Parts: sequence; structure tokens; C-alpha cells
Amino acid sequence: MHDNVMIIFITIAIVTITLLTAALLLASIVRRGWRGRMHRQLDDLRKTYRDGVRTAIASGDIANNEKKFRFKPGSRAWQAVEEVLQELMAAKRQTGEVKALFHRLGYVDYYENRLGHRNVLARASAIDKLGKMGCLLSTSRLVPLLDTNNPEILSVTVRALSRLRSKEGLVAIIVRLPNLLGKSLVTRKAMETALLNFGGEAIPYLTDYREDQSDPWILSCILEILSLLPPDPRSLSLAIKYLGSAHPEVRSKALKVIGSDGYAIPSQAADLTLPLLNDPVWFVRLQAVKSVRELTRESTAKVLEKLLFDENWRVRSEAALALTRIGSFAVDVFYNALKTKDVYAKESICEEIEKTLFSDWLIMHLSDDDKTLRAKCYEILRLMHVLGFSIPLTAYMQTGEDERVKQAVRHLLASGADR
Amino acid sequence: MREAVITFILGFNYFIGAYFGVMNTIYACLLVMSLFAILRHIQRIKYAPIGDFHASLQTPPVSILIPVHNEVNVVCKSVRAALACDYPLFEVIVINDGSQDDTLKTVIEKFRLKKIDRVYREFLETETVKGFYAGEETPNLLVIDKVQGGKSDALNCGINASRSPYFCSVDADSLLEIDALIRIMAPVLDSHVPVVACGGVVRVLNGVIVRDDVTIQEIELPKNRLVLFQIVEYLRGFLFGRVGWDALNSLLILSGTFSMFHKQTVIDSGGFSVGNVSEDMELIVRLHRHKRRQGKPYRIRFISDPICWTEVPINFKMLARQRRRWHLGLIQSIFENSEMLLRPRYGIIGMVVMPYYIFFEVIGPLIEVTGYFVVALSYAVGILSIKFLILFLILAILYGVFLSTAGVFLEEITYRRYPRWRHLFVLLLYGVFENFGYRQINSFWRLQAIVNFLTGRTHWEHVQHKGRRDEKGEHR
Repeated sequence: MHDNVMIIFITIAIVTITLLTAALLLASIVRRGWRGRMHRQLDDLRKTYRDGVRTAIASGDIANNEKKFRFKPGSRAWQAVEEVLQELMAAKRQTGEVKALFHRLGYVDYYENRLGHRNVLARASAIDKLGKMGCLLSTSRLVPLLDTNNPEILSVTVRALSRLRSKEGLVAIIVRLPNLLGKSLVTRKAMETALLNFGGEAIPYLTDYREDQSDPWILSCILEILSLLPPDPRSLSLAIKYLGSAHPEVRSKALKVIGSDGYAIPSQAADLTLPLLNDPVWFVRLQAVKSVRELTRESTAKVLEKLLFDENWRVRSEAALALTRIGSFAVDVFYNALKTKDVYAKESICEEIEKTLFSDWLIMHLSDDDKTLRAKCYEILRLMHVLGFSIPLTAYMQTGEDERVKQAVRHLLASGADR
Repeated sequence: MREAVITFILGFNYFIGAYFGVMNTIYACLLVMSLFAILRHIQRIKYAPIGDFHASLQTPPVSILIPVHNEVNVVCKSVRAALACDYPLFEVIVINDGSQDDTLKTVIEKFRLKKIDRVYREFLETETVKGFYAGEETPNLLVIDKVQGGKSDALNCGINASRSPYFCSVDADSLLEIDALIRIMAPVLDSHVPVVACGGVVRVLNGVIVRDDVTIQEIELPKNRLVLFQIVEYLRGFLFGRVGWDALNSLLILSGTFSMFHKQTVIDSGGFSVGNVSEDMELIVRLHRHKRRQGKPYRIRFISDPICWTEVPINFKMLARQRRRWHLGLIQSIFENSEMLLRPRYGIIGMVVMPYYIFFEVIGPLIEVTGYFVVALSYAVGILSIKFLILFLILAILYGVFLSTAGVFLEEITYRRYPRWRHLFVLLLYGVFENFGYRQINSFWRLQAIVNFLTGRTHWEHVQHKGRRDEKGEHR
């Protein structure tokens, strides 16, 4: 009796699994056939409408031609025309006309209607399409979506608005920053990436935003975006204001703005930046070193000398890199630093000297008329050689032309071997 | 005495039945979860911000680490493929782990590298580094020559030399798809919870025709039957096994062939374990342990759209070595982190996933092989009818066929990388065939690994690679 029950049970299981396997087999085969047919049709349709749409746009008479491209929403022809228009948008060709066609052919209306769809994926897809279509009128339909609490919808909406690049969309995002970033509804990277799409137009809105907000994370996000946007006096003045912030992330990002390419650092900013080289937080010191790179002053060299022995290796390397850019001022600093016992610091210095080709500058000065400078350059190169950083010397021996320098290098290599 | 033996055999039969039932129920659940997860992921890819991340300065730099040991046949192709990645800022670090052949010389000559001086900080202890090589033509390529210490040691060396916040480990016999790096980084950039590791799909490179060492020109199925079995196996393992566990945030395995890690978290956890023959799995288990101890939120992700193609063994000898090593590594990883087992502090990993792995994956081959004998014995002593025996065998094989078909089906409804009708039928057919011999021999190799572990034979079994095909279809 018991065995019979087991046999019946196993038989049922076998039949079920057989049916399921057969269903999967059949589904795989049918789906492949169906999809293959669909893709072939779409390829043909795209080919047909690609030329048609281009000709219609080129003729400048969209109104009379649009009937040729109007199809039932969801049909293959409708999909093909949409893809052709998206291709033109992506190639940035006649975007004005393409946007108009998206509108006139009903794509914008169709996807705007889908914004109310119950399925999150369908809604997110519609938002994304509206962003790609670049129709500014959709901004007002997208902005209310920034008030939902679904992270997926919010991320896609922020991106779509950033593609539309409308002032209304930008303001809407900035106003909601506390909600979006504060509640971690949109990741900071995604927000920064999206806001960068607005380009320089975003600067006044971002700089004005600060007045009524004190959240350090939002402020640092704004400063980060400003550091990546084109240089602007408003950005610089905001950064200077926050150099003294109590929050290290804000100080660091303010320094990043000041150190961005294209800014001539005003003396006021320089005076505020230099003390941050002694900041208790390492990433602020690191950013401060990066920002003062362009300040080729003797006083800067002296401050940077201390950072060659910083507890953080990134700061040490960055300080060495900054010093290599200072040129002759740095020789004394390197000379003194390489005489110390801190091997970690000395290796960082040697690497940066070699990487930035400052070693070549040192080699060339081995024949300098200034005896003191010549002696210091020689000693720096000798200490580098002792630490195993000899490749510039051996390279010069192979390719260098100045016999006086070669003689000095030969002597240096020989003496270094006695380490 | 006879009665006691019969009682034992009977009891074992019931145990096998229950074991088989629970295991297949878990597989069925994973399959259903994977189906939904993959379909949702496919929809999401359509509006994923891959393009935005690609253009953004906010996308963090990544180091691609390629450990090599006697890989003269494949190393240059792998480096070229890695260098061709479409990613804003990345470096490729090749770690020559004491190769005795011309691996180092070949790379130096091919990419015109020169010896450079470079600071090397040993955050993770490794064997001695002999030198660094870089070149002007490929400024983002760094080659490290070091004393042999094994794959884990080479990876740790690469981590020490890396100056990016994330690194991606890639095997020397592999080829990354051009957008694989940006795709594998997408969860890191788009997640609210820190992603400390992320794995992508590994597919079988054998048979695939590659243009200029970089681009997949044509996907063909290989003629080698052993490789065809492995293709079906990889589809099943990656498209439903890992996707299913990922949905539960309980991944215990990411393939070292292609995975991305947060560097500082790996350093804080002690890096790759040098004594383990499956360093990728052990690291993932240890990352779970480290993060759960800290009590901070984290994710270890697996996503199905970044793709890396890799060469698989073409003969039984090499395949046996690989499978024994994988299983030995699994056992070592579980044992080395056994303190997590059944400890509520480690959440679902300690309470569900590790017991599952021990009960169904580690000792699975032992039970399976014992089961064959006991069922035969049951029939011999007359406690099992021939009808029951045949039905049970049919059920076991059919379920295997079902799972393989499901793997091919998932591939068909998602990425469809095998474009021809013939490919589909061959894969479906091999999904059936693999249950007649291939699966059993795999269980035997895994059983050997258990024996090796118990007898202390835990050395690394090296698998040789032949080199991939070029446009002319020739091995080089």
C-alpha cells in the first residue's frame, strides 16, 4: 500500500516535470521563432523609414509628410519610426525637427499617458523615453514625479529632467535636494552625474541654493558639481565662503572648486587655502595640496615640506607632486627631505620626482653654473639612486648628449654603488 | 544482523528521497526567483544610466588585475582585450607570478615596456616584487614581475600596486566584453547601500571567433563535446544559480574570472587567502563575515549583463583538475569560515546559506555517489522493486534535464548570445545528454576533492590553456 502511494507520487512528479520541461522547450523554440520574425520586420521597417524621415525633415515640410509616419501606438511600424527618430536624436542631427516629430506623431502623448501606469518598470521606461525625446513640454509632467518615494522612479526622473535641460526641471531638482539626497532616494553619484548635464546654466541655481540650506552633504554635493562645471566667479565666491566650514567634506569640496582648472586663485583664497594644509582631516589636506599646486611661491614650498612627512601616503605623494611643479624652490625642500630617515616619505618623493620628469630637470642642472644648485641636484639624484630610483640616470647615460652631465652621472652611479 | 542492514538501507533510501526532494525544491525556488529577477533586470537595462556613467567624471577609477603564470599563449590577447575596455578611467595591472616561460618577455616586447621605479606598499603581505614595467604607448598598463606565490598572492600584489578604489580580477585566459567594466560598476554607482563586490557572467570562449584579440566577431559552438556540456553548465550556474542567490542578498560565490571588489574592504578583510585553492569564493565568504561583524549595511551583487568570455578545459584530465580544485576550494572556504555557521549574528549567511552549502554542495557528491550504491544494494536485497527503482532514476534524470533546459530557456529569453537555430537545439540536446554520464563523472571528481581534503592533499592543480581562436579559426 505504502509502496503504491510512493509510486503514484513519483509518477505524478515525473509527469509534472516532463510537462514543465516540454513547456520550456516549446517556449524556447516558439519564442526564438517569434522574436526572429519580429526583428526581421523591424529591420526592414527601420530601413524603409530611415530614408523617409530624413527626406521629410530635409524637405522642411514636416506637416505634409507626417501622415506617412503616423501609426497605431505599439505597432511595429510605430516602434520602427520611434527608433529612427531616436537614432537622429542620438546623432544630434536636426534635433529641433525630430523633437517636433516626436510630438506630432503622438509619441510624447503616448509616453506621458504611461506615466500613470501601475507597473514601475513601465513608468520608469516612459520617463526615460520622454527624457530622450527632449520635449521641454514634458517637464511639467515629470516634475511631480520627483515627489514620489520610489528610488527607481526618482533616479530615472532626475536623469530625464537633466536631459531635457529646462530651467524648470533644474529648479525642481535643486529645491528637492534635501529630500532626494537626505533620504538617500537618489544616490549622490547619480545626482552629480545628472546635474552635470545641465552644464553652466546650473551654476546660478546651485550657488543661490546655499542661502537657506545648512546640510553639509548637500552643500558638498553642490560644491562637487560646481568644481566640475566651467569656471565661474559665483562658484569661486561660494567656495571661498565655505573654506571655513566646520564639516571636512564641505571644506574639501570647496578646495576642489578653488583648485579646478581655469581659476586664477585670488590672494584672498590663497590665504584661506594655505592654513588648510594643516587641517586635521587627511582628505582636506590632500585637496588643499591639490589646490595650491599652482601657487608657485617659496612660502608654499615651505608649507608643503612638512606634508612630505604626512601620516597619509596620498598626502605625501601629492605634496611631492606639487613641489615638483614649483621648480627651483623645491630643490632645497627635496634636498632636506631626502636627508631624513623616513623611508616611506623618501620613496614617495623619489617616485613623484621621477614620474613628473623633475628628475630630468635635476639631471640637466648637473652642469649648471651655480655651484650650490649643481651640488644639491647631484645629492638629490644620488640619494634617489641609493633608494633604487636610478632609471632616469641610466636612461641619460644611453641617450643624453651633454658630456659634462654624462660625466657627473657616471660618477654618481659609481658612487651610489657604494651605498 | 541482516535485519539491521536492511533497516539501515531502508532508512538511507528515505533519507535520499527527502534529500533529493529538499534540494530540488530549493533549486526550483531559485529558478523562479531568477526568472523574475532576470526579466526585471532586462527591462531595467533599457533605461540604465550606463551612458551617463560612461561620460561622467564621477565614475570611480578601476584597476583590472590579471595574474599570469606561464600564460605565454594567451597573455597578450587578454591584455589587449582589457586595454580595449570602454571605461572613463582605468588601469590594467598584469602580475607575472614567477612564470618560467616567456610570459614576461612577450608582454614587454609586445607593448614596448620599460622597467620603471615605483613605490610599492605592502598593505597585504606578498612574495618579493622583482620589478615594474610600463610604457609610453599604453600609459594605463603596468606589469609587475614577482616571485611565484600563487594566484592569491599575485592578486594581493596587484591590490598593493593598484591606486584605484575598486579593482576587477580577470583571468589570463579571458576576454572582457568592451562594456563589461562599466556595466559591472553600475550597481556600485546606483546603489544606496555600499556594494563591496560584484560579479558578472562568465561564458565559454571556446569556439567563439575573436577579431583583433578584442572583439567577439562570431559566436559559434565548439565541436568538442566536453566544452558543449560546460556551456550548458555555465548557463545554468550563472543565469539561475547566482541570480537567485543575489535576489536573497546571499551570494557566496562570485567567479574570480570576472569580479569587481572595493579595494579597501578587501584590504581590511585581509586580502585573498594564499592557502586556499579557490581564493575567489573564500574572499566572498570572508567579506560577508567581515561586514556582518561590523554590523554595517553592504551588498555583494551578481548581475547578468556584464560578460566575460573564458576558455574552459577541453579534455577530461584538465576538467577533472579544475572541478576537484573548485570543490576543494569550496570545502576550504566553508571550513575556514565555519564560525559563521548557525550563528544568528551572521544572518541569512550563517543560518541558511552556509548550512545549505555544507549539506547540499559540499557533501552532495558523497550522498549522490553513496546513493547509487545503496539504491542498487536495496534492489539486490529485495527491499526495492524494479518499478520503483526505474521510476526514481527517471525522476532524478528528468529533473536534471529540466534544470538544464531552464538554463537554456533563461538564456533564450534574455541575452540570446547563441544566435542560430542550430545553437539552440544543440544546447537543448546537450542539456539532456549531460545527465547521462557527465553529471555523474562530475560528482566523482567532487568526491575525489572531498577525499583529497580529508587526506590533506590540498595543492593547486594547474589547468593549461590552449589559446583562443582568431578570425581564421586557428589556435594561436
